[in-house]
Amino acid sequence: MTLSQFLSDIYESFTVAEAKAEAPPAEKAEEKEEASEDKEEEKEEAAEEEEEEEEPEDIMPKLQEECQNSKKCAPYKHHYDECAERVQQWDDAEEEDRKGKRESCVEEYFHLMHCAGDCVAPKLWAKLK
Amino acid sequence: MFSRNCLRQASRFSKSLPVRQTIRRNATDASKAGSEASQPGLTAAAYAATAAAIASSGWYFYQYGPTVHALTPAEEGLHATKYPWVHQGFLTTFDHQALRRGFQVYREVCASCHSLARVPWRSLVGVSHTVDEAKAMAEECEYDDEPNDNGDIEKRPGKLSDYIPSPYANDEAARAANQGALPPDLSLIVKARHGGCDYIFSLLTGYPDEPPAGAAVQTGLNFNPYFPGTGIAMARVLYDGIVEYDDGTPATTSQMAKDVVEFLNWAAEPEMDERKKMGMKVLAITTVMLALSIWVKKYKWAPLKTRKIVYSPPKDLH
Repeated sequence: MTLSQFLSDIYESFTVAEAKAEAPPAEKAEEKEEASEDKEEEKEEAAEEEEEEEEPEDIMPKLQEECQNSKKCAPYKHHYDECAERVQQWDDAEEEDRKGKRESCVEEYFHLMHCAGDCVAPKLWAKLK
Repeated sequence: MFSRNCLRQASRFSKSLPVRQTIRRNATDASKAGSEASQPGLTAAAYAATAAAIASSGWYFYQYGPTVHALTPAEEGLHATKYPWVHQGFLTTFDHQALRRGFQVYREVCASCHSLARVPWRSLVGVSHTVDEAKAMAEECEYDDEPNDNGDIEKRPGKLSDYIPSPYANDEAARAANQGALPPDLSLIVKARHGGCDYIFSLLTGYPDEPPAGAAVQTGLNFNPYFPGTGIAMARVLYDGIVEYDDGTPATTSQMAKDVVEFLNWAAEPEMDERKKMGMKVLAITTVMLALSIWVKKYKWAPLKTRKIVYSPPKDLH
C-alpha cells in the first residue's frame, strides 16, 4: 500500500455517491425507454446477428499460457516438461522395463502454476471490470 | 580539595606512562617468544576446537535443521496467488456493481448446490438491489407460513425478512445428492478458508483442462491444484458465457469468478464499507483532538513557561 494509493483512497472516499435503496423515479426511466426504444429496435437487428457469433472469451488461459512461456517461468516449465516426458516414457515402456513407481508431476506443476499465477494476477486485473 | 587531589593523581599517571609503554613492549616481546615455543600444542588445540565446532553445528542441523512436513505438497494444495483486490484497500469499498453481478452468478450457478443461509433478502437492499427488486426475488421463493386454523403449515411467498433459501433441506440431503460430498454453506466461506478471496478465485479458475502428467485423480473427483489434496468433488462450473449480465459485462470465467468472490466477501463481511467509514471517522476525529490538545496545552502552559522566578534576598539588616 503506497502513500499515493492511500491518499487517492481518501479522496475517493470523500467523493462516494450515496447508495439508495429505492429505485430511481419511474417517470424518468419511462421517458428514457420511449426515447431509446426506437434506437433499440434499430440496434436489435444488428445486435442479434452479433450476439450469436460473439461468445465472450476469457483472457485468463491466454495470459497463463504466455506467463508459463515467459523467461521467468522457463526453469519451472522446463522441469515440468521433463517430468511429463518421463511419465510418458514410463507409460510407453513394457511392464518389465519399467523402473520404480509411476512418477507424479504435481509438484512440478505447482511450481509452474505458482510462478505463472504471480505473473498473471496484475495483468488479469487490469483487464477485468 | 577533591579537585586538587585529582589533578595530582593525573599528573602522577602521566608521568608513569612512559614506564608502562616500556613494560608493554617487553610483554609483546615475551608473548612472541612464548608462542613460538608453545606452537605445536596450541595449534593442535585450535584445530581440534574448530573441528569440534563444525561437528557440533553439523550435528545440530542434522538433528533439527530440516523441517518435517506432515503433508506432501499435493496434500497441502497449491498456495493461492495473491490478486490485487480493489476492495481490500484501507479505505476502498466493495464495487457494488460487481456485487450485483456476483449475486447473479451465485443465484444462477452456485445456488443449485450451495446454500447462503445466513444472508436475508433484506440485506441486499441498498447494497446490490433496490427494494422492489429484492422483494420480487423473495416472492419467487416459498416459505412456511404460520399454522392456520387447523394447525397445518401452509406456504407463503417470501418477504424481505426471509433468509435466502437453501437448495437442500439439511446436510444429509446435500450429501446424498452430491455423492457424499457436502457443498459448504457460502455465507462465511471467504472468512472460513485460508487465503480468503484469493483462494476461492484461484479455486474457481484453477481447473486445468487436464490434470498434470502422472497425477492420481480418484474417480468421482476432479483435479484442482488449489484444493488441499488436489481432488475436489466439485467440477468446474464457470464457463465463458454461462451467465448473461444485465449491465453487458462480458461474462468470462475469470470475470464471473471475480464478481462472485467479491459478492461472497460481502456476504461474509457486510459491515466492511461501514467499518472503513468508521475507521476514517476515527482518524479524522483523532487528528482534530490532537490539534486541539496541542493548542490547549500551549495556552495552558503559556503562563507557566513564561514566568520568571526571582529570588530577592532580604536586605542585610546589619
